[in-house]
Amino acid sequence: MLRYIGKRLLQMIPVVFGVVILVFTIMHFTPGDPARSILGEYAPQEAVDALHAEMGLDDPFLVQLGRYLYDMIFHFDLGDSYQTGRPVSSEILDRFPTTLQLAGISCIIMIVVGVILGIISAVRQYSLLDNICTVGGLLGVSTPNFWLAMMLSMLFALKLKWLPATGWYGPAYWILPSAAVGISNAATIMRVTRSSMLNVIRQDYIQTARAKGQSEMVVIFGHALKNASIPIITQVGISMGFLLTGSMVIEVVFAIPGLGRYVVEAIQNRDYIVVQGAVMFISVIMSLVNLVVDLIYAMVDPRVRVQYRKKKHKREEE
Amino acid sequence: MGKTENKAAARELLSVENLSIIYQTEDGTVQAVNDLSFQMKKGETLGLVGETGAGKTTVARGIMRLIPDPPGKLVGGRVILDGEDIYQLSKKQLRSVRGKKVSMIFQDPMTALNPLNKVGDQIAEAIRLHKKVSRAEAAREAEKMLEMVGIPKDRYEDYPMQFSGGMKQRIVIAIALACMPELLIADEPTTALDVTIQAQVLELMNQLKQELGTSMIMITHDLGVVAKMCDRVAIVYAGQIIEMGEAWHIYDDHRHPYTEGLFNALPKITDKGKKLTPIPGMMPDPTNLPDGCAFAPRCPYKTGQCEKASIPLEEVQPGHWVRCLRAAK
Repeated sequence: MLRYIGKRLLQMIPVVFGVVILVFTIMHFTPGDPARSILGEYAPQEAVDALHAEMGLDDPFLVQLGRYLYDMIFHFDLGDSYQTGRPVSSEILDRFPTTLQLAGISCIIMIVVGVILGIISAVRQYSLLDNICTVGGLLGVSTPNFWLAMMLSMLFALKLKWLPATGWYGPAYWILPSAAVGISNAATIMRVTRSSMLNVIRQDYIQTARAKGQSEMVVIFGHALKNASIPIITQVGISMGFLLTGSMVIEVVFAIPGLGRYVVEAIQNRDYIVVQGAVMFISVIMSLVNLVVDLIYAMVDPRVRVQYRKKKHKREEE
Repeated sequence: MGKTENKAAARELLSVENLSIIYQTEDGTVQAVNDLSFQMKKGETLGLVGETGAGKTTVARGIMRLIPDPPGKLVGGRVILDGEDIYQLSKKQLRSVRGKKVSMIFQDPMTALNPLNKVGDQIAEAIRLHKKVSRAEAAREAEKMLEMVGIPKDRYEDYPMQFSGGMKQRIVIAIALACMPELLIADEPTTALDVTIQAQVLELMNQLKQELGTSMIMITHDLGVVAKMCDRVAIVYAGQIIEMGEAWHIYDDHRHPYTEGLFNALPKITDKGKKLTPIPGMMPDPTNLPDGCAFAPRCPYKTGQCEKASIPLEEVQPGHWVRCLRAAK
């Protein structure tokens, strides 16, 4: 198993390099001059040119790319923000915990709400509750989360004044953004859980468990849910990726000082170097989430575990 | 409840009375089991024989109260197991009956085991549900059960995928017998296995049945299996018993044209080179059963009488029942 983890971590290296090169290239050929955006629209052309040269932007593309990769690998240096002059890496690391917190709370809401509703609607298929969940799920999937966020904010913050509308200073501030992100993602989880559970509860081994005299609770949560969990875990993994990156818009709506809002601001300010660094960071996070998902598969399903072992044996034979 | 009734119940293990089960589908109401009755004594093996779709599995699940509802539904009748009406029990009482008094072997061993749990734990689960034993004791008993069905106990930690079909069926049998049930319902236990393994599994079941004194309902479409295993046989057609009797009644003295057809459709070693005689036609549509005899449309002997009203099951000689006007004469 350790060997498998090591292999997967090594596989991440080309992925991250690919992402960095791709993003760097796209950013390089995007119109707009960072030097100009730093100095402002009314700065004299000579000053802009001087800054341009000083930043190394006159060098050929490959030289710039090489320099960026060299700094990244040997100094863990992602460059300094054009806007603030602070190192991009520390800016990212300062903001990431907030985003992680938002993603974590949303993820818990998403899993709890999605899985429970999914199970109920599968076990009581075609009941009123199932119909409500199915329609609700469809609505949830097709509702953009920023719209939901604004509606929640209008209702609970502006109208009822129960909760603060913006900021990130304590648990009361966490509720609305986490709910907005969590609920809209819960819809997807619910749909996956429902279809996966429906498939599993018709299997013979569920009847076997009942025939043993097992209680319905254990049959559903012990036998059925465990077997239905692989597609659910997959979906949670994918959604987790969205939570860590796609809550950008939510962070803007609720003015949360997280990574997402930072990236959005960087894009608006043409702070390319920040965008590059952030995208690279996000790609590393996504790869790690995928790795964790694969490891959870192996924990749940002995058939997956065997595959990992087989690969190992093969290599030893060679 | 008088004492005399209890005594009678002690001899009679299972009584299925006028069982009727339907499935409600989009295409109409499927009458899977129609007013079906039979009794079983302790220690007996009863064969339920019939073609695919005759309602055999529904009867088996009906006895365990395992009919998936919806779409299935019990519309009439009772199942009395060891003096208890299965359909009157609370959910909790029902759980203490399932696995303890009656257990079931399902048709396909490939899908009857939970793929994510260790096989030993799956046996131990059944034990822990019905006996107050510690985890370790249950595991020891499960190991014993594994050895009893001929699987080395050091395979306790293995998962279903690591076993062949025949071995999986042995494990299913071990689960079913883990709490020494009084009645074992085997729903085509060998259909999914190849012939050499079939013989092994049947041999094992016969041997265990004798050791443990379990009664058994053997559901099959294979008359060879019936000959090997059963004391009594009931032939099921369109959800009804059409002929029932001692095994020799059915083999040597069958009276119903359908039973006759079943035997004619068997290949015989002495008739080498001759064509087999299939029963012409198909089973009637279970959403629209005929009024009279369900077999009449396919029957070579049918008369006008057959299609008028339903035919009663009548005793043509002691212990031999037939649902046919010809046999009653």
